[in-house]
Parts: sequence; C-alpha cells; structure tokens
Amino acid sequence: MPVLIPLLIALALFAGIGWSLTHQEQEIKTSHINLGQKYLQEMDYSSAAAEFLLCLSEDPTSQNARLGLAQACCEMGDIPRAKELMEPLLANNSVGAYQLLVTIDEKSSQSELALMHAKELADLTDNQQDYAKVKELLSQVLGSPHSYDAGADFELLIRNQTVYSRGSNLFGQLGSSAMFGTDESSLDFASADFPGTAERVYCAGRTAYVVDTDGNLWAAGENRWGQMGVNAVSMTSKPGWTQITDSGDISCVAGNVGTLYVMKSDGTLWYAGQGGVLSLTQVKELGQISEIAADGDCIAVLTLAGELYQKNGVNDAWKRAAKNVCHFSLCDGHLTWVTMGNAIKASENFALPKEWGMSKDGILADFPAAHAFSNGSGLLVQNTDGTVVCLNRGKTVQITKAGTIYTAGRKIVLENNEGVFLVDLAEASMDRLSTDGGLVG
Amino acid sequence: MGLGAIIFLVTLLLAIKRKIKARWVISLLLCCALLGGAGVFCFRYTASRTSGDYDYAYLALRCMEKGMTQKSSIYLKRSNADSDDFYYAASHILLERIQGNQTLADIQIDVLQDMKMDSEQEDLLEALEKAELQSLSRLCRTLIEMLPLREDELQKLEDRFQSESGNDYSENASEYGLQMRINCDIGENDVDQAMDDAIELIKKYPNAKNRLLLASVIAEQTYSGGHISSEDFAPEGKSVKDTESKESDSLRQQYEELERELNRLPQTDGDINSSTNKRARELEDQIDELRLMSKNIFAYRALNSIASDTSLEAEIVRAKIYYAVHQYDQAMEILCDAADSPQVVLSGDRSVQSALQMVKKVYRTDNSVETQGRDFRNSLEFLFGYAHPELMNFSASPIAQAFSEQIIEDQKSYNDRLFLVDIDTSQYPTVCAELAGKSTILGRIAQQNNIRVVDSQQNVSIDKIEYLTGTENFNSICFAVDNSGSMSGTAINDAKDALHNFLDLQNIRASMSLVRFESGAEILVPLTESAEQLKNGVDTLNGNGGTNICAGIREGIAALTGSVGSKTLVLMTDGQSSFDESVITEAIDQDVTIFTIGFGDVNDELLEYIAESCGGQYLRATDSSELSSVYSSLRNVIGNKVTITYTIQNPEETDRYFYLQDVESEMSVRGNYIVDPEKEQACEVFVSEKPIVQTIEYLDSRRDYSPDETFTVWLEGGNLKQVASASLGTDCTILSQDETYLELGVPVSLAGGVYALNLKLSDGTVLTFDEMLWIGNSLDSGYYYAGDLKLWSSKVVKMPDGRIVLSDPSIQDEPDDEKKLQTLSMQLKGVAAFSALADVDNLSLGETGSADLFGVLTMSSSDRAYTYSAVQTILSGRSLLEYNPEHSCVKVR
Repeated sequence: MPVLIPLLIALALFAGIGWSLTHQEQEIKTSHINLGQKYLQEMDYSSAAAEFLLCLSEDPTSQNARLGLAQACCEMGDIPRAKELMEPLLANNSVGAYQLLVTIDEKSSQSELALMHAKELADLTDNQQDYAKVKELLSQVLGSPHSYDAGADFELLIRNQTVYSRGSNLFGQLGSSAMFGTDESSLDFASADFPGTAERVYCAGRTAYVVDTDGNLWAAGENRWGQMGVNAVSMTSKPGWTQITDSGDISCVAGNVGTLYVMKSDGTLWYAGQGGVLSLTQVKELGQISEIAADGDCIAVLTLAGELYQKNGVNDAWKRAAKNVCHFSLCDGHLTWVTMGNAIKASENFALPKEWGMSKDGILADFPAAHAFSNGSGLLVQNTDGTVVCLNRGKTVQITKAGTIYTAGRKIVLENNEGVFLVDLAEASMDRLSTDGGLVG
Repeated sequence: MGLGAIIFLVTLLLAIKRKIKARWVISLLLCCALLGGAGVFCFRYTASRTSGDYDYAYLALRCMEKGMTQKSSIYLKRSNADSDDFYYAASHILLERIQGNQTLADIQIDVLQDMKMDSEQEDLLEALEKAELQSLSRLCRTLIEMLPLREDELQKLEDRFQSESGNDYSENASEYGLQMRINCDIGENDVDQAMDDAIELIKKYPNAKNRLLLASVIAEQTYSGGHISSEDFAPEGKSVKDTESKESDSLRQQYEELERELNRLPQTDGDINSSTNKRARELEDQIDELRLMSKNIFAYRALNSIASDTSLEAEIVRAKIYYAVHQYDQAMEILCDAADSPQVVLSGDRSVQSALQMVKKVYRTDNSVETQGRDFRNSLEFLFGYAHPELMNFSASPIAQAFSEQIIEDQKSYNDRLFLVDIDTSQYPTVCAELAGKSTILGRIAQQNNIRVVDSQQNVSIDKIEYLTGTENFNSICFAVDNSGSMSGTAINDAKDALHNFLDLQNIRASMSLVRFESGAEILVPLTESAEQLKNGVDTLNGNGGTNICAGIREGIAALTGSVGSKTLVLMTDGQSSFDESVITEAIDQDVTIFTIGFGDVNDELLEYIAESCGGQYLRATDSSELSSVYSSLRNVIGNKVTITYTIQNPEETDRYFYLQDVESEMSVRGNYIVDPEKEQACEVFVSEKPIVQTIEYLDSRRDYSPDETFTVWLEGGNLKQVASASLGTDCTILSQDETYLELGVPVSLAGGVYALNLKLSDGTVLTFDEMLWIGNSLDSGYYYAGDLKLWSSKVVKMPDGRIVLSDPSIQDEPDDEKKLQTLSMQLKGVAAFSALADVDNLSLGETGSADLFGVLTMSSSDRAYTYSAVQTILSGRSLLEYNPEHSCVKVR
C-alpha cells in the first residue's frame, strides 16, 4: 500500500498533465470560438469580434473564427468588412459563409443577389431547407409589378386590376372588339374587356398576355405560330381573351413575334410558338431562371446561377453573354446588366462622372448598383437602397421617385404606388402614364 | 502544490508523534515531492506562457520603425502576450495598419476601445485610428516611448535590437559574436560566409546548440547549391581525407548496381500489380534515394549529427534539411508529426504550437482557408526561424522563404479538388457518374467513407464504385505548349521551368509526350517514359509565330493515339485563336481528357469550354510566373478517377441531377442532366413529310404508252444514302440518291388510293412514312371556299373514298366586312384532304368543317403577320384544320 499510493499519484499526475497540455491548445481556440458564439447570441458583437480575433491571431486558417468575425461585423452594420472577411471562405465553398451571405443580401435588400447565393448554397448542400429558401426568395423576386407593356403596335396598362389597351387591333391584340381587323389605331387607353382581375401585362409582337391575380395566363391577338400555347395555330383571328393556363403558377412572360416564353413560379422556363411548338413546353437546358426579357428578335434569360444567356431567333442556340450577373435589362436592343460585384455593363460607352470608375467587369458607380437600364441615350441606375440616378452626357441626375423599374419595348418604366411613369433618359425626366389620354407631365 | 504542503505537514506531525511507520513516512513524503514537483512544473509552465515584460513589444516596434514588418510580426508572435495588454494590442494594430490591413486594424481598434485606458492611451488609440500611412512611423516612436520600461532596460533592448537586426560582428570571436556573424551572413544572403562562420563556431564551441546552427547553415548551403567539402572542416593548416568523394562513390556504386538489377527485370506485361512491376517500383524508389544521398552527402551528414537531438528545434532543422534536398513530403511529415509531439507541448510556446498545428491542418486536410494571407506566411516564417530565436534572419532565410512559399502554393487551388467529369445515361435508369480530383478525397469516396450520394433529391444506393489513381495506373500524358511569339521571353522560360519542375516532382506512372503549337503544331517528343528526353524537348521551345489552339489539340490527340491507360492532354496557352468544334468531338471519340491552362490575354470562356467538354478542368494563372504552381497542382489530379454506378428508383422524372458530398471536407459536386429517351431512339434517316398527289388520269395516259412506265417522285430528307430499297404502294426503283435526296421511279400501275412509303436501310431496318402518295381523279383547279377561308390549288383530286384533296394549296381569309382587312396568306406544301360531303360543284367545302392537313404549313410574305426574321414554317406533319365563318385554326393531331 505505501508503495502503491505514490505510484498512483504519479500516474494520475502524468496522465492529468499530459492530457491537459495536449488539449490546452485546442481548448484555447475552441474556448475563443465558443465565447465568441456566446457573445453573438447575447448580441455583444464587439466582444464576440474580440474573441474571434484572438482565435484568428492564433490560427489565421480557422474557418469558424473568420465566419464568426464576419457575422459580428455584419451585426455591427459593417457589411463591406464582413464580405471582405468572407471572401476566402466563399472561395472554399463554406456553407456557413453562404448562409451568412444570403442573410447579408437580404438585409441589404438585394433580393436578386440573395436568390443567387441561396441557389449556390442549395447546390452545395442539397438541403431541403436551402431549397425552400430559394423558393421563398424566388417568389420575392418574381413578385414585382408589371402594369405596363408595349408591343409592336399596341400597349397594355393595368389600373385597379383592370386591363386597358390602345393601338392597333388588327389581330385582336387589344382584347376588345373595337376596331378589330381594321388598320385603324386607337390613341387613348380603353378597356380591354379582360374578364378577370389582372396582375401583370405583357406584349409580345402582336399578342397581348395577362397574368391574372390567380397566377393564370391569358392571351389575345395573333396566334399564327401557335405562340399562345393552346395547341392550335389561329389562321384567322377573333377578338377576346383565351385562358392559356389554369395552374396558377405563372410569374413572368416575354416574347417577340411568334414566340412566347413563360417563367413559372418555380423558376422553370417554358416556350411555345415558332418551330411548331403549339403547347407550352419546358426549356430544360438552362435550369432554373430568375429573369426573362425579350426585344426585337432577342430573348435574354438570367439563370439562378447568375449566367446571362441570350439568343436571336428561335433557330439560334442559347449563348452565354455573361457570368456573375445579378440583374439585367433589355431595351431597344440594348442589353445591360449588373454583376454580383455591382459593376454595370452596357452595350455602349457612356461618359462617366469623375466619382464613377471602370473595372474589367464594367462601370462602377459611386454607390452599389442593383439594377441598370439603357436604351442607348443614357443609363438609369438604381441603388441597392432603391434610389434612382440617371446618367447622361457624363452627368448624373437623381430621379425623385423610387419604385420598380422595368423595360417595355423601347421604353423604360418606373412603377410605384402613385402610378406608372415613362422615363425619358435623354431628358432625365419622367411622365406619368394615365389611362385617360396618355401622358401626364 | 498546496495539497503537497498539507500532506507534508501532516506526515511530519505524524512522524514526530511516531503515529505512522517509517515506510508510510517515506511513501507520503514521496507523494509530497510528486505533488510539489507537479505544482512547480505547472507554475513555471504558466509563467513561461505569459510575458511579464515588454521586450518583444519594444523589438517589434523598433522593427516597424525601420520598416522590417516581417521581423516585427515574428517578435509579436514570440511575445505570447495576453490580448488585453494595451501595448501589445496597440502594436498589433499598428502593424496591421502599416501592412495595409485596415479591416483587421479597425476591428481591433473597436475591441480595444472597450478596454479601460488612461487618457494618453486613448489619445494614442485615436491617433492609430485616424493616422495617415506616412505618420504611422511617428506613432511607433510614441508607442515605444509609452512602454513602461526603465532606461537601462531600454538600452539593453536597443543593443539586442542592433545585434539581432544584423550589425557587423566581424571582430567579435566570442560564441555570441560568431552566432551574430552567421545571422548577419544569412541576412546578407552570403551563405558561403555563413558556412565558414558556422564551421569556425563549431570548432571553437562544439555544443548541441551550435551543431544545430551548423546543420541549419548546411541546409541553406545545400539549398542554394553551394559547395561543401571535407576540407572546410579540416583544422587550420591541415588537410583531411576526401571522405565525401569516397562516400559518394560508394553510393553511386550501390545505385548503379540497383539500376542493373532493374534492367535485368523481364519486360512488364502491363499488369501494374504483378510482382515484377512491384519489384521495379521498389528498385526505382531505392535508386532515387541513393542518388539523392550521393548528391547531398553533407546534408545527410548534418542529419546524422543531430540525430540524437530530440528537441523541437532539431525537428524543425531536420525538416529544413529535407526540404533543402527536395524531399518536400518528408519535410512536411516531420513538421506535422512535431505538431503533436511532447516537445511542442512542453515548450509552452503557444505561437509555435499554433504554427505547427496550422501546418498540420493545411497539409493533412483538404479544406483550408486563408493560406494565401499574410498571417499564415508570418506564422510559417516564424516557425522556420524558431530553431534559432535570437538569430532573426533565419526567419527570412532562402529556405524559410521558399519552404513557406511552397506550403502556401501547395494550398493554392487552381483547380477544384473534386469535380464531375461525366454523367453517362446510356444505360438509363442505370447512371454512371465519373469524378476526378485529389486522391485523398477520391479515396474516401471509393471507400464510401462518409459520403452522401443523391440523385434528384433521393439518396441512392451505389451498385459499383471503381477507383483509378494516377500513381497506381498507367497514364499517357501529352503536354501541348503554346510556342507562339507572345510566349517569347519570360513566358516561355517560365513555361519551361514549370515543365521541368513538373517532371522532376511528378509521381504519376506515365509515358509523356510534348507538342508545340504556334500557327501549326508539331510533336516534339513522342510518348516516352524518359523524363530526360521530354526535358530536352522542352528546352527547344523558343516562342515564335501565331496561336492555333485547334492545331495543338489535334496534334496532342495524334500524339496520344494508340497509347495505353488514361489519356490526358494538358494544353497551355497565353493567346486567343479561332476554334473548330470538331476537335472536341475528336477528343471525346479518342477518350482524351483535356486540361487547359491559360494566362495573360486568353479567351477564358473558350478554354473553360474545351476543358469542361473533355472531362478536364481549366486552370487560370495570373501570369507565367504561376505556371510552375499550376502544373504542380495537376500532379495530384491527373489520372485519379472514381466511377460511381447506381440505379435510379424513379426513372419517370427525366430532368435530373447528380450530387455527391464528401462530408469530411464538406466538398460537393453537382451535375444536372436531362434524360431524353426520344433523342436516344431518334432515327437518323428521315424524309420531309411532304406528300405527293398524282391523278389517275395522268397514270392512265402513261400506262397507255407502256405498262412498265414509271413516274418520278422526288423525296428530300437526311442520311438517305443509307436507303437500300424503297416501296410506295409497290416496289420502286431508286433512280438516284444522296444524303439529302432520293429519286424514285414509281410504277404507273398503281390504282387510286393513299400509299405509305417504306424505306429499307442497308442494315435491314425498315422505316415507314404513312400517307405519302395520294392518287385520285382529277377535279377543276381554282379557288375553293371553306368557312372564312379561301384556298387555291393547281391540282385537286377526288379520292376513291370521296375525299377532296388539294395539292400544295395556298390559304387566304375572306373578310366578312368591308372595313376589315385581309390578313391571312399561307401555303401548305403537301395535301389538304376535305371530307367527302363537300359541295365540289360550287367549289365550296362547307361553312363549317374540318380537313386533314399533311405536309409543311408555311407563312407567305403577303401575310399581315409576316415578319422577315421569323421562321416561316409554322407546322410540319399531320394536323387538323377546323373552319367556320368566324374563326379558323389548325390543331396538331
């Protein structure tokens, strides 16, 4: 017994000291991270940052510490710093970093960017929760209004869920029977006799499309190529609306003469028209998409992976125009896009104010650009905070109104609670579009 | 310790009072000693971890002042100071700011602001936050002056700073003086002089510490390629035997003997697992090792001289020596093993523990971040200088820098460490996914170790996994190098170095070839297993002419034709060129995987497309100086492939994706694929569906002339050269044929009716196209009215069943109101068959009704909806025309 006790003590001491020394280093790191996480939960962000910094000073390769620090910065409102910290994590496909990035995008009201990052996250994890997030963000992105559009020879406008139309009604594209089949053209908006409650309107060539409040698609006008998707080619036209879908899942429509591209709420792209496709058929090659637009013969599509594709004519193949795109616009043949890094790429050169710069990805405004539009005569840029700036001849003019901006044929439209406004980029001015007699200055 | 003291007192008391026996007294006293010893150890250990002074802060700030930021960072690392020490924290902030890392500096300032400070400290912090870059040096001085150090301490530290930063000690022959001289030599990159000084040092002061220093200097000398001879170690004025030549000769004899044995081995049969091949590999390894030893005798002697030294410092020197003799993996293994060794634990130095753990983490795991950052580099350089802490210049010696760079470069990922090569759905619903990447990850996948495989949101059970590694299996690699004019100069030299480096270090079992391309392309070295032969070819590259990527690929494929094992083409270019898609098809047909490497003004999209189409990856370098690392990163990827075969349970869904996640590294790959059964079954031979109308009257007139007469039918389509025979109601004669047309002679003996076209192909397949020939009695041609439509045809027939058939009719609308415009103008290339009830006499086909349309419906330029850019073909095949006075439409049947 007297021999055994010291031996046991010696053994216990060796084991204890050995274990403690071996685990101390790891414990120090873990304790910094745990403490940091605790402070984050307690919303003590500066203390959290301090703990994560300590951990990073010991191990600059610690992913958890870097992510925690980025999160602390984000919570303290320093988004650029948080993003900078996350760069190596994102390059390494860190799931946590993507989750934080989606949160940051949502906080900065950049739904399109959030959607793309959420999609990347879902692709990385194949996790149901992440897919659900994509769906949620997609519905946000697709929920923006579209109360006006202009086709080849007619226009559509929604006021109080009623559709109004004006222009030529040769093929019944105005929806109503007024002047149907004649070469006369109405100058004032008049009721299109749409039987439902309208949510969004679109014009493609000489065909009118309406998405009703239930998410169903309706069409009126020319259907010579079967572009209405009703499994028939109309040889002779008749006035009135035809319901195309009853699945309640239509989000956006784009098209040109003889073609109809439909984006459903799940981000899938569908097509009908030229090429003998008489019923809506899914275009599978591009995967999920977030935006579509058409102008002239060109159709452009933005995928959830941030790739911008375009094709000219139905027989053309889809060609990738750009990568890392979070928004684009197509107006009067001018394709303009904003990259994930907020750079603006336009098809023509603009004189820039000295505060703005250029990068290999495009124009860099002195604010983070979310959306950009151009019809060749100027550039309209929307800040991530919603404010709008018009760039013309090297000078910027702040547009007083905020709202959703989109293109309609050759026009750029700003829509908000006050109404629908047509933006004149050359003059940096806006006119309100009224249902009773055109424009109100 | 307290417990020990209590036991001691109790034992003493009991012993004095003689309450316990002597053996118990001894036992309890032993326990006291053990507890006391443990207490002292813990106390000293803890004390060693906390810096009680500001020595390192002073030295770090002085370095900052002198612009030596790297040394400054190492001093701060050595301090092991607590984070809440204002002076150390402020020094860190200052260093971050000097190094331009505003982000981290700002965060640290935020954190420091929450600490208790006096007004002077607050002022300094404010100045740190706002100071311009130019005034940061002044802040260093302010902070030095604020340090709570006495005058004499400051003087001592200044002396230390002067000596450690490399002042001249040429006159000082003391042990310290000689050590500082070596430090100075290393700082000035004069390794020869350092070698002389180290030898002088060891001669005068032969102790373990100096032996370690000499070993370090030998490592530096070996790495720099300097010469060391036994003469250098001879006592002054005496000569010694040339032992290294003898040793070198002995080693050479040994490896030459092994080479002879290798040559005597019988020819291999291609089976890599055969005993002959295994023996060959063993011999090759032994030969390589002996060659290395014979070239680096003194490095290996240095290793022997410190073999008994088990300190952490010695481990680091050993790693440096192995690195110096290009045994990188061995060097890394030493560092990784040291990370968990008792020496590092007992050292009590948190910084070195962290640095070693970090090295271990990045080397042994597949998913590390921020290894390109300054902090990581500083930690590595601190580690390599750890063996000689007082000799600062060893932290920035050539080995320390190169070794750090190599570790950093190794972590740089130019390519994905796991990527999807191909998804084969030819056996659908059995799917075969091919993955490539780093062998460690592929190994885990092959063992199904912690991996998740999903197909379209459903976990799949794997039928089979096949794993091929680049080191175990034979590969054929072709390097296609851009030799264009733009490559001349630095770029081509970098490319040559990169290839040399790749060939020196490559561990892939392969035969390799070299192709150069410019405006044309040429195989410089056909497939060979000799790296030397390939290197000779590489040396002939000179940079001349234009850039023709296609020529490079074609010649690369040609170089690999007929080769064994996996075929890989590595194409490197710095330019742009036109591209012919057919080379991709050629590469796929030949089973050649293409990796593309680009730098400079390349067409990234094109190179990415080529690589992705051919199962490889595109590796982008910023400039030619990175080529070595880029090629090096391919070493771990080429030839490594895993093929996963699984069967889908819900094959109905055709829009699918494959997903695999390596849970350990959190890496995942995903690939979408669309299964198109129709496409798989699509027949290559086709005939455009434009039926032909013939009148009985015409056939009769020809039959009257000769019963064996034929009339000609002209068919358009694709791949029609495959047609061996044809029948159209009866056997026909093929008058002429090409890929796009078929001219048939049809006997005039046919009776009225509708006939199908049967084509028998050369492989025996019979294709049937229904309702291709319509024969009926001729009716008047002209305008026929149907609902609101007006049709015109030059050939109208009445079929035996009563149907009225219009051949190639043009279709217009008939407005019911004067104000309305005529809008419709279409053409049907084929037949429109109206029901038998039509009132033919009045050329009316009825107010309401339907007609079967066969053929191609196109829009005419006079149609109001006509648009020049639109496709004018509306429909082809069979359809149904429905008409009435208000509206007419065509539906697909």
